[in-house]
Amino acid sequence: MRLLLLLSTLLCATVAQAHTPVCRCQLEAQRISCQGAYDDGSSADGITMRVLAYSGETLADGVLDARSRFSTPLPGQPFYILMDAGPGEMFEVDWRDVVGIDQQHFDVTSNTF
Amino acid sequence: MTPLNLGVFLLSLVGFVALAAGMPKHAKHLLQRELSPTVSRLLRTLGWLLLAAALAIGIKQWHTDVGLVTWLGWLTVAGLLLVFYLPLWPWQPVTKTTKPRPEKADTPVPRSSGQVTSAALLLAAPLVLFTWQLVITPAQPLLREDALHGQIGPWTFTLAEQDKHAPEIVALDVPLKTFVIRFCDACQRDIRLASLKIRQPHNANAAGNAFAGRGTDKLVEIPVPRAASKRDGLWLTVEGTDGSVHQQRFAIERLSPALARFIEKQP
Repeated sequence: MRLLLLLSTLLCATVAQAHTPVCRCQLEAQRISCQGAYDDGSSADGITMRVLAYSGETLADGVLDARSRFSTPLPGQPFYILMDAGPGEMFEVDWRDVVGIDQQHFDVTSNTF
Repeated sequence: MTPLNLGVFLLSLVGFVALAAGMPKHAKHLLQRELSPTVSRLLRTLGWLLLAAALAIGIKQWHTDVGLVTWLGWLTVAGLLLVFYLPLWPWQPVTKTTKPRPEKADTPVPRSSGQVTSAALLLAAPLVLFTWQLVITPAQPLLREDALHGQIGPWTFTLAEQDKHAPEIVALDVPLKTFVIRFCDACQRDIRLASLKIRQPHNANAAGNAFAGRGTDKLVEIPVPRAASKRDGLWLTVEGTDGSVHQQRFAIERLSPALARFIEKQP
């Protein structure tokens, strides 16, 4: 029994190892659709998604739905989408990384702190 | 063989030669003359100093554990080289015999070729095993010569890519690349979070993924943005427990040539 408990603990510890959030976004009819996951392919539903302007202003936010998806209207200014899985576990999709978006869509340089 | 490995080997070899020359018996063998006691003592001191210098280089480069083993490995190679080379030296020592040996003792004991082969294999085994280990064992990332040693804010660190391969493609076809960092022992309690990402962070809350791990070496997997370019650079952000935030940019090709090549080839 003790051996079984030890084995279960070890197995759970393996499952509980930190994994990296990943995300892909694409432009579809003036909406940005994102698909999130963890690097091992597991679902990331419930993870916070925020659409931010380069100034830091939040343009939209939400969570990944049961299918690990998130959708938001295409902002009118340069933006980035932050998939925030917790402190130090995030995935950033800059507007330039969105599939199907014109690289000259926003003719600006990045505004950083 | 890296220059440092070669250096440890050559210092060990010269050290052994100096020690041998410092011993009256071997000095006569090597130099065909006896040296004064002062010169012998100096040679012996030089020999030990050279062996100690080889050890110091090993420990400085590879830390105590790996450095000590590497030093012992090269000592073995240098020692074996001398053992096999000294019988070929032009001046061989004269063997003194106190009394004539019986007739049968002068007859060489016949040895089978199997015995000779076994003996040769036994002698060569440590050398072969050491060379094999040297070739197959990957260097610890932070001990490799390409590891970057720097300072961010008040904290010194060593940073390197975990391996020299291209990023691993994971779910959703996202490429991930792993890096490892070690801060100075005294610094760790003053650091709250250290993060790494490609491209300059827009703010401190989006500084990328954080280094994590139980030991002194912390790892992070960072994604490669779809539209990344080499100009974006790798950005290290370190937040202190006092709330201070420090940032530093590194050229991608300096930290990871494989990552730079991967980014160049991205569509």
